[in-house]
Amino acid sequence: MEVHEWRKAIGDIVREHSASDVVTRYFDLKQTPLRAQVIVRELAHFIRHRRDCWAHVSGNCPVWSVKQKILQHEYGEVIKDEFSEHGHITLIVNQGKLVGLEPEEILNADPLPTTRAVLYAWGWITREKPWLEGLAALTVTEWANDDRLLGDHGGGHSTRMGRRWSEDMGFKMKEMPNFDVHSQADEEHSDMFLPDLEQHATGPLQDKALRAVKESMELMTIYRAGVLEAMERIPVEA
Amino acid sequence: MDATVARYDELLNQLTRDAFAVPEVREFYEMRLTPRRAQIIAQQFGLFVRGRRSAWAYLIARCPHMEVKKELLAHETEEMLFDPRCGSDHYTLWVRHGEAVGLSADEVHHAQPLPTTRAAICGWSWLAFNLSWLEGLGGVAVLERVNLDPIIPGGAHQTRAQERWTKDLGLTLEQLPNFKLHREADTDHKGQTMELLANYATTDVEWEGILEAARQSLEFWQVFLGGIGRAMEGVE
Repeated sequence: MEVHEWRKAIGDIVREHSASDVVTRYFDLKQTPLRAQVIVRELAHFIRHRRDCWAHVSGNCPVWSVKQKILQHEYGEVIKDEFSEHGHITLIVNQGKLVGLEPEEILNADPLPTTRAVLYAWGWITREKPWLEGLAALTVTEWANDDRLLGDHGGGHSTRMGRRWSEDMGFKMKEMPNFDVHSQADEEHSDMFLPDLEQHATGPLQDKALRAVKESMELMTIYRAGVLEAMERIPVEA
Repeated sequence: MDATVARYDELLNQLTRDAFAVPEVREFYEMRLTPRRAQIIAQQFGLFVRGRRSAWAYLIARCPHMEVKKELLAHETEEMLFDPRCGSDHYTLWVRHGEAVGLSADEVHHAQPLPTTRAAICGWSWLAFNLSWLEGLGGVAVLERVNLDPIIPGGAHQTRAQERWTKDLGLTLEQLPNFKLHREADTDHKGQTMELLANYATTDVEWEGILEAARQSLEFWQVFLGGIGRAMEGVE
């Protein structure tokens, strides 16, 4: 498939996820500071664990240009980029303060069982499976933040949840650094590896890469369902 | 540096010195270079630089400490993307060395590894993938010490190699940017890596694991250089 065909194929899977019952309920749930804390704590696990996963894909990948691209991606995420001087984990830590969490309450929190399970699953895919499947599984998760793809669904995760926080808790988008940055950075990241899929995911590898995309979005659904259930258990008035 | 760290630092230095005394390593440095032999070195070292990146990536993946991941990513950024000391990534320097002895960039890019090169690269990845991240780091990073003149009597790897490339082939240092860079870069890297090891290795058991990994890593280095030496012997 060419780049535009990959864009369509991955985009369809991401849009299906975005329109699913779980995701609809996730974004419809009224947000309160305590519920928002659940999102922040789990997202901090998710963000940190991505670092292991991308490094595994780089380790397994024999293609120099792809390794370089992953390193560029990771340099921005961990060290600095145009969006953050200290890596993206500081974005979520700063956003956590907004809903009453201290940095150590974010960084030392235990993950939900569902979060732990899906992180292990992504870790397994990226460590044990061929690099191309690992790459496909990782890159697609950034598509869920792509406003260009999901504009008619209310936007990607960051835009959509940012709006929820604004409506329910009165925050401005600029006050929520993680949502603000990721609604932009992940659009760039969505495009980043399409040429590599076009070049390397050919023949029988094409279906394997697409299956990895699908499985990854299934994991994302489990992740969101776990966060949703944890938030639903917290009464609005709490 | 406290006494324990200083003791293990010196043991790692000694392991590195011992590696220079092994016959196949000694022969590699003593062998007269010709353009054809230098081409083999440029191709195999290009593969070495690229192949070692997987080992470092596995270390980044497996280390649970974000501050260490950051250090390792910064290290890899110099190797793979841009090092201000040389104005390029480090692999590109081997392409330039190859060009200095008559290879095209493509001939460096598409070089086939010798079986020994492949085995050594797999060995370093194995250390990083299978040992604890701390042992893996000690093993993978010990190779920075082969470039440290102060600890290797008679000159370290880059110094000895530079002498052969300039004397035997008549090349200038401007044509051979890699040697000077790695003397400087690996002095910095060794200090940074030793600091990480010292921060996280808290028991003798952990240090012994690091030493064992370093011993194996230096054996892979011997395999790597020995294979190149034998390949060079086969050509004029």
